[in-house]
Amino acid sequence: MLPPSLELRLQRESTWRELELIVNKAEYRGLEKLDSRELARFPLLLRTTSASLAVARASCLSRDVLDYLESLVARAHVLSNPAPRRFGRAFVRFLSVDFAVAVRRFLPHVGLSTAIMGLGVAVAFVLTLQDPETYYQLVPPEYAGGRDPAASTEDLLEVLYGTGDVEELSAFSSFLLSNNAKIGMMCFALGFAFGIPVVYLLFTNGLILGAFAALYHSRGLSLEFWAWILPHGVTELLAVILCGAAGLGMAQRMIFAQRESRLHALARASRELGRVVLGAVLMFCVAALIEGFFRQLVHDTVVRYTMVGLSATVLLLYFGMAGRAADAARQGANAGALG
Amino acid sequence: MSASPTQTVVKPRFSSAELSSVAALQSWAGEQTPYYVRARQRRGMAKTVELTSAEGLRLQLELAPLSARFGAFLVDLLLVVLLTLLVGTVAGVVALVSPGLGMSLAVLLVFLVRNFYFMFFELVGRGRTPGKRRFRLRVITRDGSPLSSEMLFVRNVTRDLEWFLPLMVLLVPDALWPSAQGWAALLSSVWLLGIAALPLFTPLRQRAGDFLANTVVVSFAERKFLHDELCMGTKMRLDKGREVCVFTREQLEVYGIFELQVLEDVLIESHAPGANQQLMQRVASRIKTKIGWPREQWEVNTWQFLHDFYAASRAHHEHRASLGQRQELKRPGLLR
Repeated sequence: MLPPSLELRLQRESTWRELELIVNKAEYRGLEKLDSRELARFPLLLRTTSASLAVARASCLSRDVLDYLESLVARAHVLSNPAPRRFGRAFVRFLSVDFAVAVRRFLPHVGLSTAIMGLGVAVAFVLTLQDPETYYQLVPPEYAGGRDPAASTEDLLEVLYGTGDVEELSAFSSFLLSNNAKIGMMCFALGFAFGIPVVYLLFTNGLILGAFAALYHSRGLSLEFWAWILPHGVTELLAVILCGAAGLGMAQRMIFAQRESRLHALARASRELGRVVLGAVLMFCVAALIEGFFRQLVHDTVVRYTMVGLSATVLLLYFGMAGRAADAARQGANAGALG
Repeated sequence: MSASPTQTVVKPRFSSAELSSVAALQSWAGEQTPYYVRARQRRGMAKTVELTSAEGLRLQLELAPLSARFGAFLVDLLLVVLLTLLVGTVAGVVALVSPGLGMSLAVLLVFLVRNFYFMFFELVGRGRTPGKRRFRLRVITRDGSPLSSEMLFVRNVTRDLEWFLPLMVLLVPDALWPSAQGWAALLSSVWLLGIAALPLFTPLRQRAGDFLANTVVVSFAERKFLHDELCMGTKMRLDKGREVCVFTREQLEVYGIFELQVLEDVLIESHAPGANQQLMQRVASRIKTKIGWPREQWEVNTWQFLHDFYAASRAHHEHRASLGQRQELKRPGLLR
């Protein structure tokens, strides 16, 4: 005469209602705002209500009760998921360990991406030296900004030493930052076109650099040119190369998806390589700061080359050393867990 | 049943053996599912994602509808614009002191706001930007692991590719591929639009970024309330020894679980103020006709009859189901 599942509801409804109140509060104001009693009750209530749901699924035919429990347990379950790290702590952890470790794992890709860009530089350098007219085909006019074979040597020198409006130039470099970072991120996002756009972007970037270098070389300004571009260029070019490497890594995982489906392989690779690109974007910011302030303020070639050496050393040390201990500890822990 | 005060025995048209024969069950469970059942099951594409909880329960979470996601995106876009204006004002004040510094500051900050707004709020708000919060949406991982910063970065870095490039394709197609051949531009445009339209086709309504980060967006917009227990009236009448309507096994097996749950919906609605009492009357007389309710008891209170019938058939079907004999649907014909 009376359904067996009625008993379940009569006995457990107060538990469900209590959980519902806590979940409502936590959804609205955040789990952190629960008081200590509610926080202590929450896992107990969740477990009991999950048990009720399991019983109800097996025996209860009331859709009202079933739907209510399904939705309540789902909401509570999502709330009880482990929280992501605090933003500040996640940031520190990322810089001190994750970024460098991720880059070290993709060293071959970094090498390949450097080679592609280097090839672009070399090709453009040789071509432009042989025939200065090639410059116009390689460098888009909006990049050149008057720096072309028609310009006089004095004009070219003036660009290097920024005797123009300093503040205007620093604004221009900030613009370059968002432009570069955009291209870097695009490199990564385009990884799932089998890497073809990535190779293209890297190569054309190299072409522009090579054409510039050849232009200044033909006027005997090579030394000054590299002193001008490298203080921030070390960081910036490396960031471009890292983005390219990430795009290549995506392409590789997608083309040679071994035992996984291509989509899965791509998704997994993107999460590892996302770190590399995120770090590269930060490097673009650093490069922009160097470019905006250091380059406009310091005009001495020797000091500029000191800066080049300094940033190269810092980057080498960082990617060589950072996070090795933490990474080894983590792998040790994993091995321990397996053994 | 024997303990009940009003004993009613109806001579069934079919023997119970005939009714519960395997052939009858099969014919109803299979391809002959009635239209009204199929219509109820068919509510667009499957719209839940399955998660396994720590207790090993499989939970169905409702996927966020695309309209809500678009709304949330618009709210966030508005906030990005407002933040950009704010940052611009701050940089403008700085620029009064030093124009160059102000300009670089503006570009740097706008860059940060534009590219890291979504990532920052999804990380701090546990998968909810202000816009998603407004629409009760949340980003979750498909495997139940916590959201990590690189996941959220990956998820949001593709946004440009998915929104701004296709918009350019639609609005200023010539700016995007200035020197490309006609066919190449067309092909690339179709490709970009295809990526932007991914959530329309993917089973879990994932964007390209969702695929890469292995995340889905779920919705908690629909609130499920627990209504009053419908069996309580019958239980009280039984406890106090008052009369309840009693049904035979054959009468209870005329309807299946599906119809039981439809009746539940009707009864829950009838508890609301201003409910349609005529509907209750019609439902009751329909059931009475169908199960062959005796004429001499026809005038029994409608409300009481329906609740008793609900309690009795739920009890019966729960009992049968616990023995592995679920009867999902009603049987054909009338009992007279």
